[in-house]
Formats: sequence, C-alpha cells, structure tokens
Amino acid sequence: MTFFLHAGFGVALAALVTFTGLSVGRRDRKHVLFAVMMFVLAAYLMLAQLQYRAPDWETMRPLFRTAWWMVSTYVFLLGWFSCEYAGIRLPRFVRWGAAAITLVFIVWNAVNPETLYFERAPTVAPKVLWGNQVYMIEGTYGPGGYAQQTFTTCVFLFGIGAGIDLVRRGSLRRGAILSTSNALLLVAAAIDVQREVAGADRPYLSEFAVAVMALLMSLELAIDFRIQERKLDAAVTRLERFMTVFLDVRDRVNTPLQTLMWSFELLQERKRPASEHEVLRMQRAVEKLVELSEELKRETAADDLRGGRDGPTVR
Amino acid sequence: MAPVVRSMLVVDDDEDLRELMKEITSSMGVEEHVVAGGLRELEGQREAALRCALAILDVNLGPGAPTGVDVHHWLRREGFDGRIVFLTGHAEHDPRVRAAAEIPGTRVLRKPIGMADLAKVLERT
Repeated sequence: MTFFLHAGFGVALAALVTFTGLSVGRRDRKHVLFAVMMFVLAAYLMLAQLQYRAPDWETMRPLFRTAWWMVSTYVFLLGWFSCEYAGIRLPRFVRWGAAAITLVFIVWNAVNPETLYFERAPTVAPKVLWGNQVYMIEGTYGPGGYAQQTFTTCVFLFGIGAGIDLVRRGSLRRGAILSTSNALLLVAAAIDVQREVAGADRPYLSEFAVAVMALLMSLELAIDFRIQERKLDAAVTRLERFMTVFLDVRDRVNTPLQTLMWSFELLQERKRPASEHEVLRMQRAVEKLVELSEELKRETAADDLRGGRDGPTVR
Repeated sequence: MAPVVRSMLVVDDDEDLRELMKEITSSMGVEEHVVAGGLRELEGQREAALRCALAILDVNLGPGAPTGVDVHHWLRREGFDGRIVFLTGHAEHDPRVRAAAEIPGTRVLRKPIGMADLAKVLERT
C-alpha cells in the first residue's frame, strides 16, 4: 500500500513540475490550475502516508486537519479545472457559491476538524492492509462529512457532465478522459463512503483514484499541448506564407496606383476630358489592381486563415 | 516654377507608367527623354542615356531581370554623371530597396508620389 502511495506522490510531483514549467509565460489557465492541483495532491499523499503511521488521534489530528484542507482545496480546484478544460463558463452565483462552500469547510476544519467529518472525535486502530501495518481512523459520519461528500459528489458529477458536453461538441478524446477521470473519482468516493458506513477493513480508494486521475489528465494535457503546438506551427507557417504574399501584393499595388494618381492629376491640370488612350491606360491600371486583389483573395481562401481551430473548447 | 532638367532617363518595367511619366515631365519642361523597360533595352540607347542630366529608375524591373540597382551600377560604370533617383513601390525592408538606399548620393522615393513631388525631382540643382 505504501508503494502505491509513493507512486501516486511521484506522479503528482512529476505532473506538478511539468505543468508548472508549461504554465510559465503562458496564459493557459488549465495548466496553471492543474499544476496547483498536483501540488495539493502531492502534499495530501505525503500527509496520507504520515497519517497511516500515526498511532493515536492526538498525533493524527494535525495531519488529518491539514489533509482535509488539501481535500477541500483540491475538490474546488477540480471543479474550476473542469470548467476551464471544457471551456464552460458557469454563472457567477455558482462559482462564488462553490468558493463560499469551500471556505466554510476550510474554516470549519480550522475550528474543529473532528466534526467536519465525524460525529465526534474518532478513534485510531492498528490494521494490516495489503501486508502493511497501518493505523486507521474509526468513526461515524457526521453532518459535516455528509455535506462534504455531497459537495464533492456534485463536483465529480459536474466533471462528468463537462466531459460529456465536450464529446457532444466533437472533442471525443478530451471529453472521454475528463468524464472517465471524474467517474473514477466518483466511484472511489462512493466505495469510501460505504467503507466508513460499514466499517470495512480496506484503504481509502479515493487516494489511489486521484493519483490515477492525475496520471490520466497529465497524459491528456501533454497530448493536448502537443496538438496545440502542431496547430500553432501550422498557423505560423500559413501566416508567414500569407504575409509574404500580402507584402508582395502591397508593393505591386503601388505601380498601378501611381499610374492612376498621375492620370487623374494630369486630367485635373489640363481641364479636358480624357482621351480614349488615357482612358484605356487607366482601365489597365484598374485591371491590374483587380488582379492583385483577386490574388490576395485566392491566397486567403486557399489558406483559410481563420480555420484550424478545434471547436470552442480550445483556448 | 524652378528651372527643370533638360533631359531625363526613365527606366521602369511598366509601359503605361513610363509613357505617363514622359507626358507629365514633358508638360513640366523636360525636352528630351530616354525611356527603357530594363537594362538590355537601355544598352541599346547607351549614348543618349549617358547624356541625360537625371535618371529615374524603378528598383524592381521584373522577375529575373537586372534590377534598378544594376542599372545604376551600369550607368556609373559607363560614365553617367547626372543625378539618379530611385522610384519604387517596394518597402524599405526589401533587399533591393535597401541596396538602392545604401548607394551614396542617391534618393529613393516610394510610389505613389504626386506630380508636385515629381516636379521637385526634376528641378535643376
């Protein structure tokens, strides 16, 4: 079991380093959010290991409190991340409401960590799980515990819905991974609730589910980043090509423009109608301008400079 | 109006513009014109070209053709001692325009220019 927690910690740490690096100098909020989530997750998994070694509630209490700050923060960040990832903008009252609920949990945890989760102060009992001697909390869920689980479930359900919405909008892979990750967390949380209620002897699955989710999302964000990079490369190439044509046309426009300018000035100065020869000369200049305009239109149409974006979800 | 040059050379690959410039400068008092679409055509009129007091050269004389800068070098090599002005539609960052601008004692004008500006170019110095 310790091995899996270490592995989860490693995944979170690697993702933290990677996405912190990717976030530097970029305005992609989902990478920043994911990096913060991974920081919180790494801290939580480290605390989880320490908790499994704490032999009594007094030793475990500060660890438990800090870990639950991490959980509350992580759940809030996950909801925010799902919004950013799926390109969904929630109404202000929902966003502020979620922030307020999280704040209540954080303050509650600061004041009295026992009742945030349990009915009263829990006990700690030694257990052997997957060959490891660990200490685990034994307590009964209180209203705070149920409130927190309900809020967490809402965030997971929202994440699943956001993924389905992405799939509907044509981003199959991105949507499927977001929904699967959140579904995994939801199932693990449901099993953990059942564990608390029934008092079964098994580790908390959410800890592993969240590590698997971190791995899945890291891979997905990395793939997404590469795809975006390729699209950007292609867009730069298209723009460079268009720029060359545009500059060439801009310069070539000046000669027929010069002909027209002098022709009109000459006519104004002479104060007589243009001869047929002069009219033909001006006509040729206009034809050259039309030809250049067509060339520009053809180039724009061929390159489809406004295209190449993967629906509204791509930032 | 200030006195203008008596003779001028016009090198531009656009026939209409060459012809128009000839008409306008004639109306401004220039008496003799030598016009060419490029260096090869100019070589055929060497003697007349070298007698001109002013040369107005386009910089880009068509794809693959010698540029206005090449024409400038040819003129100087052949002993042309008049003023040389480049008239171009291309921007300053174009390497040919940059090469023209770097030649000491020459001016580079950007198309389109008005007749008043052209008249100033024709003024005898």
